[in-house]
Parts: sequence; structure tokens; C-alpha cells
Amino acid sequence: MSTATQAPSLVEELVLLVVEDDGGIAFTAGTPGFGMAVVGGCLVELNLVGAIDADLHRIRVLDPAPGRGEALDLVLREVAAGPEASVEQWVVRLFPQAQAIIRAALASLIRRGILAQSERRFLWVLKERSYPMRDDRELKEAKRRIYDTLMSDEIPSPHDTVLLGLALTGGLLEAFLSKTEIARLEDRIQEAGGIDLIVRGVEAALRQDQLVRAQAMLYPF
Amino acid sequence: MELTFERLDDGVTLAKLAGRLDVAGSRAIDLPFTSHVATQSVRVVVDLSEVDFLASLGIRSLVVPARAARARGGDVVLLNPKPKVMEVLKVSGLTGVLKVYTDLATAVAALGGTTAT
Repeated sequence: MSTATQAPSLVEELVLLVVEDDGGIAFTAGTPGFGMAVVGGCLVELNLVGAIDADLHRIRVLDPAPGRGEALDLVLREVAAGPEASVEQWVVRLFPQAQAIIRAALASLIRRGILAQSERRFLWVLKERSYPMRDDRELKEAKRRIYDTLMSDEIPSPHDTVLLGLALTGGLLEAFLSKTEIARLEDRIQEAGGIDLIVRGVEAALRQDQLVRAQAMLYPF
Repeated sequence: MELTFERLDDGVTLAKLAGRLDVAGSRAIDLPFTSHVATQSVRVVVDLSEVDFLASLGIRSLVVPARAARARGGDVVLLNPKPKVMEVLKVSGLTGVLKVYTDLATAVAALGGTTAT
């Protein structure tokens, strides 16, 4: 049984969505899109608690005090110490912290009894850490919220639109929707996913990253 | 941030916002705005002409009452945002779910009302 007494954070929900049925972490978790999504999740949460404000041009720190959890404190510390920059620029700058944010979220989910942690053998020799689900209610709830948002024609709640937008940016929809379904729901995904300035900044950062990578492949020298 | 309500004809309310819709502004209006939609009028024109600045939480401050209004069979439309505010509305994707009008009569008509003001 879960010992969780509060709903998981946005970042924890995103991390739950990359935990596979056997407790392994999906390949998606290592992609730039997912890394930027978890950074964006931290920025959204800091915005919600009034620690930062974000507009089209910059993030402004309103309350740099720590105490909001390991991942949020890490992000807030960097933003407070850094130069003035837009959400898009901060997502790129904070991207190297994505793995630390994911580790912090996994640790929190284990502490709260939602995930367990174990070592398993990979290819009979290599050790691999896995995170079997102890209580899958939170994962089911996150999936249900995304699915309901997509199937509805109502205005999504601020939480659900951000979750959908970051799940889309993080490449997570493919884990539980077929390509055909995603194609069929394309208009709704665009309408309901990420009605939020921070999520839009994450999307812009990912587009820029993809452009840079494409250019590097086309013109390597 | 200031929020005032003016009752128009046919049960439509004109909600006038003035000032900066940032974290502090959002906190100032969230409760009265959502309460108004939950307990009084569900057809609301939000006059943004005096809003100078719109930040991330401000988008939520518009989404939440709009959701509440639609859940009760009404709607919220936006009126006359300044160009900078309009840019934020577009970039955030809010214009995909909330209509924006440039004159009051058309905005009220979109909600099924008529203006005598």
C-alpha cells in the first residue's frame, strides 16, 4: 500500500510515466525532450508556489528561499544565481540538471511508497537498477487525466493542460497511445496541450535543440 | 490588480481587469473572479483593455473561471487586450480555447446577450 498522503508533483507524474511495467526506466527518459519536460515541470511548480514569475521574455525570482524539495531547490538556486533570461533560455541552461531532477523524483516516489527499488541482472551479467511499482494508482491517475483531456472538448484544467503539454514534449504519449490515435487526436493535442507560457517555452527550447542537432548532422564540419 | 463587475443586459457580466496580471495580480483576483462565476453570472466578458502585463499565472487566472463558466452552461470571452497582452494570449495557446473580441457589442452577442450600454 502507498504511504503517499499528497498528490505527486508534476515532475513525479512525468517520471512515473517513464517507469515501465517491469520496473525499468524507458529509453525516453534519456532523451532531450524528456529532460526539458522535467526542467519545465520544476519551473511550473516554482511558478505555482509563487517562487518565480514568467513572462514572454524572462523568469523573475520572487522568493529564492529553499525548502521546496531537492529538485525545486536545485532549479531555483540556479535561476536565482543566473542572468536574466527567458523560459526557453533557462530550459536549455538547466537541461544538464535533468538527470538529477529525475533521480530526486524517483527518490521521493520511493520514500512515499509508490515505487520500490531493486537491482536486477541485465543480460545475465550487468546490474541494472529497477523501480517496480508498489502502488500504481498515481500512474493510472496521470494516464487517465491525459486521456480524459484528449477525449474531452472542454477547456482543460491548468494542471491537466500542463501535464499533457509536458508529456507531449517529453515524448510520453507514444507509451500509451497508438500512432493512429495520436494522429487522430492531433488537433485536440495542439489545442489542449500546454496552455501555459512555461510549457510553450519548453516546446521552443526543444525545437531549437532539434534544429541545432539537425544542423550538426547535416553540416558536421 | 483591480477587478470590478458590471451587470449588463441579458445576464451578461462585464468583468473589468486593470493593472498587472502577474503572481500578485493573479492572487488578488482568483478567488473573487471564480466565486463570481460559481455563484452569479456564467456569461462573462473580461475587459482586458487596462491590463498592462500578463504573466504565466495570469493565464491560469483566466482559464479557471472560464472552465467554471462552461461547466455551468456559460462561457467567458475576452475583450480588447493590448498588443503585448494579445501576444501572450496567442503564444500561450489561450486564444485556441477562448474567443477574443475588439468591441463590447460583438463580445456580448457572442454570449447570447445584447448591450444597452
